[in-house]
Amino acid sequence: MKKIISLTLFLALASALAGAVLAGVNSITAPIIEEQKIAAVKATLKEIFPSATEFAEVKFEDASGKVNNVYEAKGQGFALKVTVQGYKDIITFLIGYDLNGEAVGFKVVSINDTPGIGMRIGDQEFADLVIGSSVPTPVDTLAGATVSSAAVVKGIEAAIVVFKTLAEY
Amino acid sequence: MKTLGNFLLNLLKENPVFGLYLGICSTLAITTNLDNAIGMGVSVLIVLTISNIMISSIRKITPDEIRIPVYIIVIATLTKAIELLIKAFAPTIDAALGVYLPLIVVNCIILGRAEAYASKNNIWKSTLDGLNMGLAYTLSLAAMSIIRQILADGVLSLNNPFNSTLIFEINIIPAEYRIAIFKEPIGAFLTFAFLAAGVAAIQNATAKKAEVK
Repeated sequence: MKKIISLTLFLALASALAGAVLAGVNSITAPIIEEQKIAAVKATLKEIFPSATEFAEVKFEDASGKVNNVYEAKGQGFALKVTVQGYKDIITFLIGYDLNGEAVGFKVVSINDTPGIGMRIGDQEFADLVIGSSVPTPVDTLAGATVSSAAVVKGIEAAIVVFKTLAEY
Repeated sequence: MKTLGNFLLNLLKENPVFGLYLGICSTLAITTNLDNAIGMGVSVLIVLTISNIMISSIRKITPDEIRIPVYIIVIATLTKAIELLIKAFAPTIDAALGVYLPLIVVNCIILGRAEAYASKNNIWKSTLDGLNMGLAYTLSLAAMSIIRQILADGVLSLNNPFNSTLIFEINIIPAEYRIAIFKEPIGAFLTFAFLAAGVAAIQNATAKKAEVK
């Protein structure tokens, strides 16, 4: 009995010490990690709206469940972060619309489809197609990468629905 | 002086990856490029060395019955602390290594050295053992990743993990002769098999030499 108590106490003490150490490290790193996250999002938003200086996350309603976040570039437009199911894995991308409803930026954040086929929607070719589109005339699917691009097109359609509720263009 | 001689010899002879076959999971998974290999290797080196020091310093007061749970607490704490520090100061490494960073905690090299070495030896020897094993692990990862990156991407490059600026980049194989399969898991297994065979051949040769003497 005495043995069990001493073992338990030793283990409890070790765990408590470990907890204290981690709490210390966490209190130092938590604010830096938070800043890194915000900086990473800001960097991608800057690519879509290079001249915008102020970004703010806005509330929105989305029935499709595809749109994750919406960021407003003050006076310039909106960037929407969309997640869709691709061929192999989920595809996350950002699409930006200016206040006239023209697509101004498209950036695939994460994709894991077949190299040379589905992965092509991450290339400049598809980005140029998307940037040429607008709210009234959305982009078409990409020949040779039908599954992945059809998923993205569906995501863009969902983004347009959300965009229409936010901006009057 | 003898400890230092052993230190260098052990790098090859008692290589944790290709000699003892420990920590292979992470070796196969993350060695797609040199950045990942160095980031993972150094993280393991740090966790392993500190864990060896701590476990060696508490070896006399740790009750034998609960030594493994205590080791796990020590290793888990160190891994989490390293993970938080990497997330804060080298986010590119964190993004590249992903889930394998928290999985350092189950890297069998670390628990293996704690149980087999640090719990029986003094702090100085355990520190050396940690550095030695960690360095051998890092070099093994680097060797794997250099082969895989050159064959699959045709380039060898290294980025500074703290601000993701390019340190060097050498183009070796032109685009049409690259072997993309070395990026895939099968390429990892192939590379691993050839390197392990090579290390085994060297080990056998030195063992025979020792016998003749």
